[in-house]
Amino acid sequence: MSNEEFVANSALNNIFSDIRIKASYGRVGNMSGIGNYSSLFLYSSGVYGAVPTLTFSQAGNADLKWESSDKYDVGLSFGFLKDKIQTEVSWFYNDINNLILSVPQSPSKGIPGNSIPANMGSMYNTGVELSLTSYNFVKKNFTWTTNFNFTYLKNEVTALAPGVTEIRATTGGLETTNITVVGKPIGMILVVETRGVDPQTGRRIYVNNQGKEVLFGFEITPSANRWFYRDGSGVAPAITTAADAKPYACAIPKFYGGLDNNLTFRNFDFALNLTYALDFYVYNGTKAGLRDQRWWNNSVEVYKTAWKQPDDITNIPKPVMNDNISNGSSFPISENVERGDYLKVRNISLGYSFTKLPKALAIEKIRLYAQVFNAHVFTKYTGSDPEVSTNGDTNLAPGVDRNTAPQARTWSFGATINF
Amino acid sequence: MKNIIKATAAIVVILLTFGCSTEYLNPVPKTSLSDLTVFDTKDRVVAQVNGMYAMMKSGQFLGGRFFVYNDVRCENFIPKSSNLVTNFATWNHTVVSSTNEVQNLWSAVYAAVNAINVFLEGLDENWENGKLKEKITEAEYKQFKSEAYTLRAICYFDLLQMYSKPYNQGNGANQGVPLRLKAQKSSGENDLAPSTVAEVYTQILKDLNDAELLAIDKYTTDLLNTTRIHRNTIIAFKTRVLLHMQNWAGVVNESAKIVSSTTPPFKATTGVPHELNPSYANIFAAPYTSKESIFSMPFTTTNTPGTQNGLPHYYSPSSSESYYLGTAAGSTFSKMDPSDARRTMLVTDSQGRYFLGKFLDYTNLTNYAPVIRYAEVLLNRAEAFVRAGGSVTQEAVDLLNAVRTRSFPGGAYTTADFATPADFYDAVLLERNIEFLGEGMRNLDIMRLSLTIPAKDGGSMGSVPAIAPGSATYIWPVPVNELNFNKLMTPNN
Repeated sequence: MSNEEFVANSALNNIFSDIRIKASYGRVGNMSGIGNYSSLFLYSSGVYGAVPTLTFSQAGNADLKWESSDKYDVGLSFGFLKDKIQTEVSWFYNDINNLILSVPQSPSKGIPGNSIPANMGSMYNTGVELSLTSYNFVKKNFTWTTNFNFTYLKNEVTALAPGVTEIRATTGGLETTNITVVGKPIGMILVVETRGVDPQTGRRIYVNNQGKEVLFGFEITPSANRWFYRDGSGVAPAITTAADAKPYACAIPKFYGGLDNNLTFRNFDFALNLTYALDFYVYNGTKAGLRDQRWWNNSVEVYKTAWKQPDDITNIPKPVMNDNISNGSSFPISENVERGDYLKVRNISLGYSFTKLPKALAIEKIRLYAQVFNAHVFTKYTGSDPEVSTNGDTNLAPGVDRNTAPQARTWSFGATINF
Repeated sequence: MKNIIKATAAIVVILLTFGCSTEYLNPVPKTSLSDLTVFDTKDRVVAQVNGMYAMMKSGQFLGGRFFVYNDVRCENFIPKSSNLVTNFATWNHTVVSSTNEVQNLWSAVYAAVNAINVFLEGLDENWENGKLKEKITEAEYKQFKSEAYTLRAICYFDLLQMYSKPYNQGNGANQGVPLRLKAQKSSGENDLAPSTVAEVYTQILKDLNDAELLAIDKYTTDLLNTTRIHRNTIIAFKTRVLLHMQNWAGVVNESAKIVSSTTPPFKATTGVPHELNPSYANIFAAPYTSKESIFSMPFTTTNTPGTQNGLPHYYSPSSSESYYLGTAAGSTFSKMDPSDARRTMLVTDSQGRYFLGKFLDYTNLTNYAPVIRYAEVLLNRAEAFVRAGGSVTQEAVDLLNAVRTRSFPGGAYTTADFATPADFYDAVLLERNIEFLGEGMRNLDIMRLSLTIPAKDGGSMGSVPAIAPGSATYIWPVPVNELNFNKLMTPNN
C-alpha cells in the first residue's frame, strides 16, 4: 500500500514506511487428535490367564473424513521509524466444521470405549494477532533485536452431534472435570460452586442446582443427614457432580504471546525468551487431593488455617478425620479452580562463536553455548506449573492438574560445529 | 540429444506410473488385526474364543468387582475406608445412577455381550461360506458356539441380579434389561427397550439349553476344565438359574445329571468328574483346578485384575481400604463353629479383626476368581428337593451335610433337626452364607427370595439401615449414560 500514490504523497509516509495490507482465505484439513487407524474395525491381542486372546477393540467409522477449517485472515503490516520497528496486526477467523468428535453410544451396545468418532459438530476460533519487531541497535559489533507478539483468542462451540447437548470428559476415568456445550468455549472446567466456609459452623458452603446454599458435615450420622441447607430448612439431597456441577471456567487462555530479545556482541550471542498466557483457569486437582483428610497426606494449611471457632473467616473448613469431600477430593469444587496466568522465562542462552579457525581443519564455525530452558515462572497459581495438562493434548478436557509433574528446568551446555 | 530427452521422458513416465502406489494412503496397522482377517487361521479363531472369556474377566466384572459388590452390599463385611473407589457407596446403599460402580459394571457386561455377539456373527458367517471348514472341525465349531452362548447367558443373569427386581416378584413381570443379541459394530441402533425379567430368563435358558447340546464333554487338562465351558459347567449354571426362577423340579432334574447318586459321596460320573474337594482351603490354593472348581477365572503375574479390582485387594488385612468380617452377636461369623475350617481359615490383623483367608496373594493377585463350584450344585439340589416336595427328606439332609461336614465334621444335621421345611431353608441359607463368603453369593440368595437386606453397623463408617424388598435402593438404578443415550430405556423403580 505504501507504493500507492495517495499514501506516498501523504503525511502517512513520513511516519510509516512500507505499509501493506493483506488478506487470505484458506481451507485446511485437520486430522490430529485421532489415531492413524480410527476408521478401521480392529481387534487387539491380550491374554486370558496364560493363553493369547483376540478381542474386538475398535469399532471404526468408514465414513470418517478430515475436519475442515476455513481460515480467514486480514492483516496490516507496516514499519515506522524508517523500518526500525516493524509491526504486523491481523485479525483471524477460523471456522472449524466436521469436527471429529467421539459420539457417545448407549453402553448396552457394548462398543469399545462406548463411543465412535464421527464428523459432527463445529466451533470457531477468532482473534487478533499482533507482532512487533524492533531493531534496537544494528551496528557492526553489536545488535539487539526485540520481538513482541500478542494474540487475543476467542473460542466458541457452535454445534455438537445431533441429539447431543453436552459432552462430559473425565480425568483418569474417575472424576468428571470438563464439559463442552454449545455457546461456550470447548472443554470448560466443570465443578460444583462453593462459596468458602460458613463462619458460624465451619462447614464448606456448596451451591446446589437450585442456587440454594448447602452445608456438609462428614461426621454427622446417619449419613443421609450430612448435607443440610444453610438457611436451617433441613436435610438436603447430597450434592453430586452429575446434579449440581456447572460449566464454571474457561481453560483456554484469552491472551498469550511472547517477548524475545536477541543480542549479539562481537562473537557472543545472547537470547532471552519470555512467554505468557493470561486470563485462563486451571483446576488444581493436586491441591484437592493433598487436602483430603484421610491419613495419606500432610497438607499443613489444612490445620494451620482451618476454621476453629465461630466467626473465623477462612477457606479451610473444620478438619474431620477421613473427610474426603469438604476439600474437593471426592468431586471437584470451585474452591480449587485457580487463575493460571503466568509469565515464563522460557529460554536464556549465551553462546560464543569461534569463526577464525585454521583452514586446515575445514571447520567454518564452532559455537559453544550454555542454555537454560524453563528458567523461571512468575505466577499466582499455587500448583507446580500452570501449563500442565493431566489429560495431554485432548481438546475436550484441558486445564486439569491432577498430580502431574511440572515441566523441568533444563540446563544444557554444548558445541555446534559447522563444517 | 532429442533421443536422450525422449528416453529420459519415457523412463520418468514409467517410473511415475509404477512407482506410486495408493497403499500409503490406506495403511494397514501392524499391531492390530482387522475384521477381514481375523477368521483366517484356527489360532486366530481360538484366540477370539479366549477373547470372549477375557472380556468376562474384566476387573469391573468377573475379574473381581462383581463378586465384591454382591458381598459388600449385604450384611457380612465392614469397610476400613470410605473411599468411593472401593465400593463404599455400594456398602452403604448410596449409589445413584451416575455412580462409577453402576455405570462401569453395566458397560463391562454389555461390552462382553457384544464381543460374544460379534464373534458368533463372524463364526457363523465364516462357517456358512466354507472359509472355516478346512481350519476347524465341526465338533470345534459346535464347541465354540456353546461357549459363546453360555458366556452370554452368564452375562445376562448377572445383569439381572443387580439391575432388576427379582424373578419371584411377579414371576418376572418387572423391567429387565435390554436384550442385545445382534452384533453392534457401528453407530445407530442406540435405542432398545428393556425386556421383562421373564423374557431375559427365557433367553438365558434358551442359550444354556442350546449350548448344552453343542458342548464338549471334557477337555484334556484340569486347567482347561476349570477355565473353559464344558457340558457340566452349563448344567451347573442351569441349576443356579432355575433356582432363581423358583423352578424346583427343574433344579432337581438338571442337578441329577451331575449328581450321580442319591447317597453320599456325591459326584458327577459323566463329563468332567466334579466332586467336593476334601480340603476346603485347598480349593483356594494354587493351582486352583480341583474337581470342585467348575468354572473359575484364571490370573497370572502378567495377567492381573487391575488396580483396586481384584479379590485379594478387598480382603487384605494390610490394605487401608479392604473389608473385614462383622463379628457382633447374630453375625454370620458368630454362627460359625470355632473348629469349622471356614473359620480357622480366616486371617487377622493387628487389631484382631477377621479377614477372609481365601484370596491370599495380595502382591500379585493371582488367586483365581471362583464363578461356580460343585458345593453350590449340591446345596441348590438340597433346597430344591424340600421346596418341591414340601418335606425334609434324608437325601436333602445328606446333600446339606456333605457340604457342611467337609469343613465342620462335627456339625452333621439329622432330619429330626428340622421341624418344618422353613427350618431347613434357614439352615441351607446359613450354610450358603458361610460356604461362599467372598464369592459373591450372598446378594444372589437375598435377591432370589426377596429377603430384606439386613442392617449393619460399620462402627466409625456409620450404620446402614435394613433395606426392604420394596425399597427404592433394593436394586441398583439404571446407569445415567444408558438413560441418556438409549431413548427407549426407562428407570427400573
